[in-house]
Amino acid sequence: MISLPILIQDIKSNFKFWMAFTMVLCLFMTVMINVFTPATIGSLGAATNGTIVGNLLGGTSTLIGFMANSFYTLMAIIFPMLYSIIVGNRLVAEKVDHGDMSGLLSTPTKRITIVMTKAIYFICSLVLMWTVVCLLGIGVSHIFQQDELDLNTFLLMNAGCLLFHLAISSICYAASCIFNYSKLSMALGGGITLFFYVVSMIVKLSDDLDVLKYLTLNTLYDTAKIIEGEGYGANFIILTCIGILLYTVGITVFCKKDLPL
Amino acid sequence: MSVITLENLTKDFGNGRGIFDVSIAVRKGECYGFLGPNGAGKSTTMRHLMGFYQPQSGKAMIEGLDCWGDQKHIQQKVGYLPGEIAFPEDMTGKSYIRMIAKMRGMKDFSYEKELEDFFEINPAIELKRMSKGMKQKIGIILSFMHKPEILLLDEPSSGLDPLMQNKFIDLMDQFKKAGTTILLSSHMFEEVERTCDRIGIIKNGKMIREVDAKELRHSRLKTFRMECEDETDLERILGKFPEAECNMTTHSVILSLPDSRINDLIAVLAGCKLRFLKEEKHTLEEYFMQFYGGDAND
Repeated sequence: MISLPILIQDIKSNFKFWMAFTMVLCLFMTVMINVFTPATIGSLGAATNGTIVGNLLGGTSTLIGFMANSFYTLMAIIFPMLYSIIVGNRLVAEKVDHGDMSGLLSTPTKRITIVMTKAIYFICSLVLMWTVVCLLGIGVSHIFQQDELDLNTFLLMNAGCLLFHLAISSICYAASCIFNYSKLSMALGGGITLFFYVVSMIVKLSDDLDVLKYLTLNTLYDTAKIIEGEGYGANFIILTCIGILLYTVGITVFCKKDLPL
Repeated sequence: MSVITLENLTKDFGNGRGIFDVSIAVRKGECYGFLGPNGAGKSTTMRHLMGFYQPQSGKAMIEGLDCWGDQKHIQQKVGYLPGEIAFPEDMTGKSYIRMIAKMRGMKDFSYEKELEDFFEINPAIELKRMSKGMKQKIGIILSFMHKPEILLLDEPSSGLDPLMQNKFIDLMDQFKKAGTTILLSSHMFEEVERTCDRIGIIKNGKMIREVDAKELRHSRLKTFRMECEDETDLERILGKFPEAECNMTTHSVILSLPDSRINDLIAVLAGCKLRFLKEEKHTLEEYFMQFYGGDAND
């Protein structure tokens, strides 16, 4: 079900994107962990209390709480999302649009083998990205914030973020498999996911806008519930189901559609 | 038994585009030419044979296997050269050839090397730096290197210089001798005429006519254009060939005649003082207009 030459080529051809986004995440992870001191957060909380910034920051005095409201609401969402939008499009739609998919299909390789291989690359690259980021986070907090990190919550936070990004990647991948034009795949895959991100930011601005949370997938990655330690299980399951469903849709559509190659 | 079979193949893209009720049968070892102007439906037909398109109705089969669904088995025997060649931009020609070879399960690269030398190309540079002609050569190597039993070639010599076009025709002859079945599409009459045994003419998605290449080769008219020094020479030509079109001010003559009368022309011209003589190349349309009269437009 997997074609090794295709897997190797996908790894090589997308390595620079994977590397760039992983490094940006690592950089922010390191900086944010370093920035944290309970005292500065306390004063920042007082200064911004009741303002929009205060709503965005959420105000909390543990390292994990601080990370949840900074790193895990901003950088950890947007950067892997961009990776998914770019690479998701590159894996399938761009190859059909540009035409080099015909080379792969003129060999005795089934369509399903090709798209399965690419889906596996996509999923594994995100898993690896989060493994690297998570391990680095543990290492950095061990050095700079000794005994401040709640390891269990931190692991759950990263697992949730990974599941969220797998669901995001499934949207991009399905769009990439469905459309024969790169621009359409980008418009749909990128459009939907960035829309989710923007809505999730707006929701945080005011309680009046709370109803909007049903419009975005980001709601399912609820850092507050993870910190509370309960109520996140269902969200994790839904995210996983969305991921499985959309990857399956993408693969099925690609195997059945006409390819203008 | 025919190796490549199309049975009433139809794919309607709307607005009159697509292919309609196309049926052909290519025998083993035969070279079949698919001739038609741009947008006639040649590539669409090829894509059905490659399993990229699902037929709307009718069937596309290779060696009795359905092209939609049995790709894995068919592709082992097929070499395909797409009409619009596209390669991954971030690989060298060499690494791409290696990758496709691996996907074909090829181990022996001696013939691939032979083809590189034959086409005088060094594939060890990045594909995106290659010219159109070089890409075409890489495409040809990719479709011939595993010595396929069946070749599907979509406008194979586009982008090649005349020298390389000749080399390519030599290569096709070698494969023909080895019993390879070839389906070649082209909008160039000469290309098809030189290599194919049978020619199918397609226009606006419909098969117009199927002809034997030999028949076509010998029965068609050739057109010559010449210019004489004197008016008396014009009259001598007109005397022998009353159908010739003459222009009395420029002293030019346009004359179409079958191969059987070529010696008569030479005999007349031997006594004339000519400024020049050349054969006029016909467009596909003109060829078929003269061959079938108004039929070419239905």
